Amino acid sequence: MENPYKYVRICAWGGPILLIVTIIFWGILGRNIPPYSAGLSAAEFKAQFAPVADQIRVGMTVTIACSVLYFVWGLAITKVMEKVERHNNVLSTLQLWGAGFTTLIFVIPCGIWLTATFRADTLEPGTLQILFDLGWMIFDLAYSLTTLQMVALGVCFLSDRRQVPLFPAWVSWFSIWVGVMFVIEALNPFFKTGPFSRSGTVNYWLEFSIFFLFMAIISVYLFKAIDRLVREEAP
Amino acid sequence: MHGQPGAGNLRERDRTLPGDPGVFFFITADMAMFAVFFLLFMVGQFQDPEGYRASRAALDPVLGLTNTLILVFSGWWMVRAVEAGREGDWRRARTRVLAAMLFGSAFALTKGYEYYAKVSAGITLTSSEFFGYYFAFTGIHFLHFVLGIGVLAVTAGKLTKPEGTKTLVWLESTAAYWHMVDLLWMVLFPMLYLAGGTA
Repeated sequence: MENPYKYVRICAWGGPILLIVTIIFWGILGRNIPPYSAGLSAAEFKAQFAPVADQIRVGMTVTIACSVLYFVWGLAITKVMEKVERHNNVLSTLQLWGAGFTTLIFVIPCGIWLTATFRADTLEPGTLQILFDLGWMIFDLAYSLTTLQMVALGVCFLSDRRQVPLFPAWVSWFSIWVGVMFVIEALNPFFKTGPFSRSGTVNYWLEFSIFFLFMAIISVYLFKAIDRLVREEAP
Repeated sequence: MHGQPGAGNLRERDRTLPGDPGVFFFITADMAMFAVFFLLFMVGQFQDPEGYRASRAALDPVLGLTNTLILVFSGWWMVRAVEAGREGDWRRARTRVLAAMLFGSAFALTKGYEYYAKVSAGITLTSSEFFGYYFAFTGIHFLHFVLGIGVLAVTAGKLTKPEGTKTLVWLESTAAYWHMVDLLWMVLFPMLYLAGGTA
């Protein structure tokens, strides 16, 4: 018997698993809750960073390895989006590419932070700090790749013509809103301290909270949608 | 029973929010984000009233007021567009949406001039905490304004081929968003240009 949703549910687990991995390995072990302030001097930064470099190294090594789960999760979303699309598969394709590129936004910065930990003892404080800055610049400023995913997802599910749509309208709007709000990350390069700096109230606490919330909420409704589609299409 | 397609739902819908409820979710979330901004600014001003006053002296409240009037006038055209839409007069609704767009676009000119004048005078978003907030808040607001102009253009396009209630919901949703853009400015203007005074 054919099951069009074989593997889809497994792929959907990629999101929640990556969310937990990110919080534990990138956040807690990686010392990114919140990240080191851009307002620190190079010497201050090295004094704080070098003693915990081994711990951060473990965090980044695991985060890089698991980053691919974001793309895997994105594929599960795309399979559900395809059931809503009527004219063509543009939105589900954009969503998938957005998720795929977001994977790289985990991989590349984590690789740079990992490099910073590699010779943390012997590197000049300024060099060490610039590596850390470089990772954060890419991580925060490449937001449009994720915005692409969020907006494509939202627009697609808003066009769902079912009596009860697969994703509730508020979830679609939330997704679009988070995508739009990511634009605030563009302020990052202009501030070393304050709410719009990389460790600030808005650009870190608010933006990362809504991103993690996005992953959690979309995952919940993704599982519900898959269950429903499986039921609807059961022979 | 009713002249206009979908008009039967109108009376029912009068008791609820105009437009699409999902759009109101977006608007509420957006205004919550701005509420956080306003709070941050108030805290900053409370901690450094002198610094904020000194920076504020470089802002031109007449330009701020002009921007307010532009947005309110544009918003008024949008109100009238919704009125026309509810009466099923789609052609008039379209003309009024275009008027809202045309008058609203003036905001880009005055704001652009204001940014240009500030940057020419050497004032940027790194000049002081006050100007950091000024450029960040008005910049994010400006982005909402640009999105709004885009949505108004799409709405004007949809009004050439109206589809009854569906188009009315779209028109009302657009109007709600556009009012949010002027509502946010109506808080930004007194907060940045007036409150707390100048040095």
